[in-house]
Amino acid sequence: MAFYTGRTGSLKIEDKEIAKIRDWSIETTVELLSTRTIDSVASTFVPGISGATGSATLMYYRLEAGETGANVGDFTEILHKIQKEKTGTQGGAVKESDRVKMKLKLADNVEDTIVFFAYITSATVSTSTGELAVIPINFTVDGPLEQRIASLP
Amino acid sequence: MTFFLGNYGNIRLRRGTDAQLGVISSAVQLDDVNVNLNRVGIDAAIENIFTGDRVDIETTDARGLEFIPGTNWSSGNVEDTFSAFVNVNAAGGLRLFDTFTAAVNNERSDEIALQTFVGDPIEVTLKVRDVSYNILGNVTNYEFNTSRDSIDVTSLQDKFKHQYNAGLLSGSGRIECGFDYTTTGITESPLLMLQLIQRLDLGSAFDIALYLTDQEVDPDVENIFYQTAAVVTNTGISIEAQNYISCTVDFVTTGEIQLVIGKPSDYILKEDDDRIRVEQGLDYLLQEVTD
Repeated sequence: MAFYTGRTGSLKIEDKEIAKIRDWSIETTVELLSTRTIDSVASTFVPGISGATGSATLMYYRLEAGETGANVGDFTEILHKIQKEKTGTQGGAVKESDRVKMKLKLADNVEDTIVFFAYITSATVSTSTGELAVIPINFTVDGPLEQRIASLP
Repeated sequence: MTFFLGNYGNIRLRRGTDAQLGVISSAVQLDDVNVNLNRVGIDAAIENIFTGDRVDIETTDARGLEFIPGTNWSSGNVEDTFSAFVNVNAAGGLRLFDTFTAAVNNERSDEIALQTFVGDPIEVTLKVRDVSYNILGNVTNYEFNTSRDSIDVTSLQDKFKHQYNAGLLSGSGRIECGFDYTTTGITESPLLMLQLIQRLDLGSAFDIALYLTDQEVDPDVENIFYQTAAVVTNTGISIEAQNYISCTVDFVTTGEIQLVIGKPSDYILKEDDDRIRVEQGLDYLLQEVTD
């Protein structure tokens, strides 16, 4: 198969496949540090720190009987990493333990999977007339990618 | 299979609507009441009230609607609410009647006499609240479309598109009729369709029943009709030298749309023991369904 579509895509959190994902994306960037001097005639750089951010759109969907399982999760798996409620005298804080291992898959092959740790940085729960209730999220990758897109063997 | 021609159906409409219509407020002063003409002037009536409308007049004034004699209420005393059909003159003065026919024909022998009063102006509110449907006359053509919003719920790994099966339902339509401003009181005149869009403050909503087949036209067919509240969005007139004047009215639905099969147009379902306030004769109230 030469082309890929959303038919084979998925998103996993801590090895749980999240149901009803509309889309995901990840952008990798690198800072460039300028090494221009006053006698430079063209810009030159050295690479600095790289990083990645991404987004996904989750549907506000409750798993029905027959869809649940140990390896399947719904939007709350991600939402609860940033939306916290007060518990006792503490709580309400996002902690390091809310860092998640995400797998973004374009297909089932290992070579078509991006694996990394990330913090969920935003989640918007919204509903409007005539529209599906969706939850767009943003995340920022923490550290280097654990696994990147690779060439097929 | 049977084919039904267009002349099996018609359009019925009700000027007031169960959907929320606006209210106009005014202060009736002594000078606003003309006991010779039996007309009362209400601010903003000329832009909002049309001849044939059935209006509810209400007041919170302790005197009640004192410009209307107490004999018009069953209690014999002036009360604070009154309903009547109105005839509106060019100056916006309202003459009150008990029936639609008398109002549209301005039958002075059936008018409700008014009386003078003393004291401060009486603050009143007016709203249009018709209770029965009248056939719209001179209809040459109508069309009605209903549509359901499609909401894409396709997600990753789906091989086919999925659509949410309960999107919002809406409707729109167009009525074409030959222009006429006269009516004997049996049917609504097409002029009303041009007037509805002009209700500046009350809004242009009205209740409509679009009959595909009407038992009153042919007793051998079922009553099959769309019933909904609608808002006039566009009106147009066409005047040609070799043809009659025609009107085109576009509308969109607001609120519930029902496709009713087999029931009389004015059926009432009541399952509690509360009292019914009857505003028309008992033969209107009693509608029997045979199955």
